[in-house]
Amino acid sequence: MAILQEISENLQKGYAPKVTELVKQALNNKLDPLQILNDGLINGMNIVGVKFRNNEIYVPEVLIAARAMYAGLNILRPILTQTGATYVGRVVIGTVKGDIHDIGKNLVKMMMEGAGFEVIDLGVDVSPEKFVDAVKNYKPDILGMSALLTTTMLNMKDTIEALKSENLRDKVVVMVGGAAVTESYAVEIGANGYARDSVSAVERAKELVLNYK
Amino acid sequence: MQVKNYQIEIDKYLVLKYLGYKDKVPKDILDEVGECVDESYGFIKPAICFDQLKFKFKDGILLPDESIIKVQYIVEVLKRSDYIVMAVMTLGKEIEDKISTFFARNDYMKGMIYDVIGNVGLEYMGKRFWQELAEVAKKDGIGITQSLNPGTGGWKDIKDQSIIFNNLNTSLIGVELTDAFMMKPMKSLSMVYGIGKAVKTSLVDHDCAECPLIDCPYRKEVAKCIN
Repeated sequence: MAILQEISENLQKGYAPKVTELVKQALNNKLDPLQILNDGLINGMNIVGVKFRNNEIYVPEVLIAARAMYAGLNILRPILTQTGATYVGRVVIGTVKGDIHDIGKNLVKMMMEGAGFEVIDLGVDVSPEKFVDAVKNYKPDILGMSALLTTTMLNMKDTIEALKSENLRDKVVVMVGGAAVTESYAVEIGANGYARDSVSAVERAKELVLNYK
Repeated sequence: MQVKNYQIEIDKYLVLKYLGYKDKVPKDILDEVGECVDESYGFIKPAICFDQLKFKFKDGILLPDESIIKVQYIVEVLKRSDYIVMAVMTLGKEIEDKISTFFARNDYMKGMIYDVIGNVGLEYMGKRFWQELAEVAKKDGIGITQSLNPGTGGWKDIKDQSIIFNNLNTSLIGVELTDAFMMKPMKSLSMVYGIGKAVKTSLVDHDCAECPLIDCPYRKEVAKCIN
């Protein structure tokens, strides 16, 4: 459909006002809000993610596209909530205890929302107990933990142990990331997935949700 | 101990470089970054506190308050110094609030630009302070090391932040250390320099050679000295 293609293309260029106008127009044309989300906004963000991975665009272009994505999403969200439309998956995300850095975590949240995930952000300095409570309360598909430093990333392991103690470990996929975190550390602590940046985090999250659902 | 307020300059092109641009920058992004840089001068409040300390070389760098820096790499860099300078610098809390507000509003672009502006501002401040110390040292015919920061590069033990904070009254510039040894406001830096006759002046204020993050856009690496 031409208007969905137009939404996707304008989103990729970061034209937020135009995306707003087109989403409203699509709703007036009685298009399914879920289709507008999937084939317009998410499609656009997917293409942005691929371009970023291929070094065709830089971080600011991704962020400007995200601004346009949120402009559309802010219109669609209330309607989608009313209609009970489902997300790709639910993610609980936070920066681990002792760590107050949140830029990386915020970017992952943004890309996850852009890919159609529902994201519950616990913020920074999140204790293992708080992560466990969030898994109990929100029943997410994915628990994402971020840490910048080698000293604080140790709390990722504590959180995984806390999940085991509460018999919750096999009920949620655990993903980890952050400047100090590596693939081998993720394996060592028993996480299901690792991502080095926000774009690969989304790709990995999609794979993991498909495999575990 | 001395406290100083600073005037700093934010290089818009350095902000763009750290945002990932290597060459051509789209005009809308250039304009937005320029506007953010101009606005940032209104809420960045640069301040520094620092002190000069004598030390003894005994099982490490033994300071007057009897705390000891034991990390081998740091001990090797500092041990030939006549004295050390400890400093904590900050851009203040307002820029941190600004960054958080934009991220909370899902305006990731503005949040990210201000975060990078903060990093560029701290880098500028660190470099300028080092240059001031280096000029004085040069007049006195002595040398100065690069800046050494707990938790980065060769200074693996972030717990040593407490050594710096125990020796400076950082409350005068509004900086505190968390239980996990991180500084609040986040746009703050702590550092130690060694100064003395037997010290060779570093070519750069900060050398990332010991840091394993080889893809870091902020990486600076010059492992050479000038005298």
